[in-house]
Amino acid sequence: MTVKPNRLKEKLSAGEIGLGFSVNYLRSPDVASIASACGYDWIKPDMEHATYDIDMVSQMCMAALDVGCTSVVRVPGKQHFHASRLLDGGAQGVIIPHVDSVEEAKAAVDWCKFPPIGHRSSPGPVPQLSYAKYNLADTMRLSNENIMVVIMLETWDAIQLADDIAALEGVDVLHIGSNDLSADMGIPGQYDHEKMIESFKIMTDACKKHGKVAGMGGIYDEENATRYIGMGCRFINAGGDLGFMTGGAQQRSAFLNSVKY
Amino acid sequence: MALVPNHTKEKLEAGGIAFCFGLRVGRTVNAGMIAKTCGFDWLFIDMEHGSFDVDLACQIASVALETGVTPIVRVPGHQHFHIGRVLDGGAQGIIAPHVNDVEEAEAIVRYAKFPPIGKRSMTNNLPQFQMERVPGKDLAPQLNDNTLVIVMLETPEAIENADAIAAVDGVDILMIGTNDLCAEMGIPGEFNHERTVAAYQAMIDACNKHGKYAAMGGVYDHDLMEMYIKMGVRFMLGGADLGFIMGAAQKRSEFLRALVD
Repeated sequence: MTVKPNRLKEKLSAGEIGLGFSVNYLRSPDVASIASACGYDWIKPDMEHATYDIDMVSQMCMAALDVGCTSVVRVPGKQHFHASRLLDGGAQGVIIPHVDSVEEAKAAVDWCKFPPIGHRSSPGPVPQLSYAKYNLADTMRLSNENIMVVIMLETWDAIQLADDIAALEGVDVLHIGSNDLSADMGIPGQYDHEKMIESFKIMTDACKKHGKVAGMGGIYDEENATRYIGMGCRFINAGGDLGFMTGGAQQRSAFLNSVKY
Repeated sequence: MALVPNHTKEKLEAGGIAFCFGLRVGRTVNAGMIAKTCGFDWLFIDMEHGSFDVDLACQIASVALETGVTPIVRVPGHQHFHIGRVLDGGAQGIIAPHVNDVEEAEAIVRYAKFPPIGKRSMTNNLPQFQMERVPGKDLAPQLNDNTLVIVMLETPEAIENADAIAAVDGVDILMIGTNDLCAEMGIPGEFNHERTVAAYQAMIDACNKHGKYAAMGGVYDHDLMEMYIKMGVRFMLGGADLGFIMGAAQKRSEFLRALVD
C-alpha cells in the first residue's frame, strides 16, 4: 500500500480514543516503536518545548510511518515553513500552539492543506504516499485526507472562538492546553475549577456541532480525566517521555535508598 | 588545582551504596542533571549495548562531572583506545564487560591507570581537572586515585577466578552481569536461582577479602535488589532511561484506556 495509513485519524473517525505522548527527550527514530509497544496511537515530537530541529523530527516521523503510530508534531510558532517542512518530511499531523484568532487557525489550514482547502506548496513525492508517483491532483487529495491539523486553544479569549474555529474546513482537532489555559485564567493547575470545566464545555460543544474532534493534554488524574473524556475529548495527550522517565527513576531511587543494610 | 571529586568513590568509602541511572536512549548532555534530580549517584553511559560513540559518551560525561553525578562508561571491548579515550574525555570510571581471568583484568588496569600502576598514556588539560594544566607528577597519582575500574564477571569461569581478579592491584569493583551470567549457566533470567546466589556470594567474599566493592547489574526486581544489597552489593545499576519511560508510559496508557472502557 503506497498511502501510509493514519491510524490515529482512523480511530478518531470511529469515535475511539487516540492516546499519544509528548516526545521531548528521546532523539532516535525508534520513538514510534517505543510508543506502540507502550499502547499508544500517536507521538508528539515537541518542537515548542524541546530543542529538536526539523531534520531530527522528520526522521522520527518517517520511521513512524511504517509502525502504525501516527506522528503529530507540535511546531514552535506560526510560520508556514514550520508546518509545511514537517509535513514534507513525513509528519501526519501538525499541532499549532497558542492559536488566538480565527485568522491564525485559517492560516494553519492554509499551510497544511493543498488546494482547494488550503495553499500548501507542492513538494513533489512525499513519504506519506511512499514517494510513489501520483498525478498532482491525487497527491493533493490523498495528502489532505492523510494530514491532521490540530489547533491549540490556550487562553480564555481563544476558548470564546472555539465555535468559529471548529467551523473551519481543514481543522481536524481543537485541543485545550490545560496548563497554559489555566495559567491564563489565573487558576494554574486547577483542572477542576469551574472555569476549566466551562472551557472544556465550550470547546467540546463546538466540536460536536461541527463534527470535529476535541483534545486534551496535561490532565492525568482520574477525576478530571474521566470528566473531560466524558465530555467528549478523544485526542488525548497522556504525558511525556521526560516526565515518565523522571517519575519512574525517582520511585526507583526512593526505594533503593530506603533499603536497610 | 581543581580535581573534580569522585562522588561515587567517596560514597563507597564511607560505607554507602552507589546507585546508577543508565543511558540507553538518551543522547543529550543534560543526562547528569537528570540523574542527580532523580536521586542517583552515577551515570552509566553504555557503549556495549548502546550506539554511543566515544565523542557523544565524552560530551555527556564531561558535563555530568560538574553535577556531582559520577560519569562511568561501559566500553564495548578490552581495547586501550576505548578506555583511554573515554577517560581522557571526562569519565571518572570505566566498566569493562566480559572479563574472565586475571590476564584480562590486568590488561584493563594497564589501559586505565597511569604508571606505576598501569601504562595509560599521559595527557593533560582534562575535564576531571576542569581543563586545568596539571604537572604530570601530580596528575598521574591524583587521577589514578580518582578513576574507578570496574570489571564484569559474566561466566562461570569468571566467578571461579573472582578471588584472583579481586586481588589485581588497580581493580576497584567486581560486577556480575546477571543476565549474561545466568544465560551462560543455562538458567537465563533466573536471578533467584541458587547458583546465581552462590555466584554472588563467591564474588562478594572475594571483594571483602581484598578490600574491593561488589556490584550488580541487570536485576531490577525490588525484592531481589534488597536481597543482594543485604548480601553485600554496594555498587549497582538502578535502571535505565528507556525502561523508566516505557514502564511509566504503559501504566499511563492502561490507566487512561480503563477510564473509557
